Amino acid sequence: MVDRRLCRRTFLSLTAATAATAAVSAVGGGGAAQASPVIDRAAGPVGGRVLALSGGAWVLADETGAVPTRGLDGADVIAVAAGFVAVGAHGGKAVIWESADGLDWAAAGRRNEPHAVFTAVGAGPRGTLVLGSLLSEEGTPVRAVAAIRTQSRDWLTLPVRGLSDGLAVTAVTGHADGWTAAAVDLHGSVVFHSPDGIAWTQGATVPASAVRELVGDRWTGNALDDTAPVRGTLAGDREVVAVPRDAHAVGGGFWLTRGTLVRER
Amino acid sequence: MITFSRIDGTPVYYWRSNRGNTTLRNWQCTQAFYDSLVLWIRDLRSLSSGYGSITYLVSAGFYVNKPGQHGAGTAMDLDHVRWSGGQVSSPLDRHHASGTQSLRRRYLAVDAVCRRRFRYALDGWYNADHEDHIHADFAGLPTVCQKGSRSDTVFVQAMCNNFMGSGLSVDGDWGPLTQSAFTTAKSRLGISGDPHTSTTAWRAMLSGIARHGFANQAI
Repeated sequence: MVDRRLCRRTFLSLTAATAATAAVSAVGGGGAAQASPVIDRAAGPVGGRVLALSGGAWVLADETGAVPTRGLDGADVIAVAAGFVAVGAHGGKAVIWESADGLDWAAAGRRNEPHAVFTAVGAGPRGTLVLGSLLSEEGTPVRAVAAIRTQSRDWLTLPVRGLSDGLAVTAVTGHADGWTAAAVDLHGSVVFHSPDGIAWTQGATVPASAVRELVGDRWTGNALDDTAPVRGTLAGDREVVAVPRDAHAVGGGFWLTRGTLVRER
Repeated sequence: MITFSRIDGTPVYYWRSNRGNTTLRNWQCTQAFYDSLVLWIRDLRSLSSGYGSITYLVSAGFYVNKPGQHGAGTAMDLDHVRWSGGQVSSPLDRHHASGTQSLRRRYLAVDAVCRRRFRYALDGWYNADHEDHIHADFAGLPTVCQKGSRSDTVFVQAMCNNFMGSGLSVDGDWGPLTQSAFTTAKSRLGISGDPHTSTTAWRAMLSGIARHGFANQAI
């Protein structure tokens, strides 16, 4: 089932992890953290905070402040998941990063194709699954790719069947029956299901919404027709969320509006 | 990000869930991208002035909460353009593949205007995912014609076929037949300079293509 192991696995040093834990504690207490920096982009929630890009540097932030991270210089982080796994691209190659605390990150897996990106990561009972795409020169998705980390702790590439190659996957979540993923097209989001991360079948559609986070059968995202902050269920319910109208879904209850992280009122 | 409902005064509608809907929408993009949208629509107005003013645009999205240029607020998906003279160009209706030559040429004219201000422009010839809209984004600036780009090559091949009857295969491979047809088009349009290295030359060639397209004239 698994075709090959991702290259270049690295590990955190205990010293760095210990120092980072102290820094995170400072954020929680509201003491040493940088107060409310402007957030340019948010990759997603990790450890109760948000991994975000601020002034060209990746920080761990919440609505009260931020602390700098290490190990993500030059990275284009797209998504993060429980268990301190971040995915995205660096130098045009799809990369997986791991951390023990959300502050010190190290590359743990990388695809060798020159144009590729991982765009979603989710955890479940069967491990942690990463989905992404090989890209054309123009940056459009041309083929879906996947990697999984099971109890072995190694990242292994998976062959993928049934995911729409031309769509970027924006969210994936694990559950007892396998995996559920969402990808955005011009009409909304398309939901896919898989028992193993390899063979996918198309399920429900979420009309006129770009799904950013899947938790069970619930999703959050932004409307396609006016970018409003919305959430709903895969059964078809949808409602506007009580955050500023221009807020972008981040996940974990966080929203990004005009450079500031907020939570639902 | 900024929020807008009009580009330089022209309303932008959303038809994907309700065709013909004229409710103003709150779109988002970066200020820099909006500035380019203004330059783009002014180019479009100028080059298509024979059709009257642009009554409205229809888009499938600008900022979209997903990876890539849309997620960065630096992309547009164009579905439809309507002029006060009654003319339309509708990527949504696959006008690139219309049986009417004037609609195909008008589509190529709109496509060319997109290419003057954005890089990349992905059209109906690029792949099946773009059969019903023209995607325009900020990636890969500056705007020049790259032989190694599928986006540029299929546009040139379709342009040569529709304006000169070149009979090229629209396959995205820039071979000797495509080169010959491109050189002929460049010469007939009176373009000096190298569109492969000069943004000025490429934009001049795109303007020439657009003028011929809106006028439904061969090159």
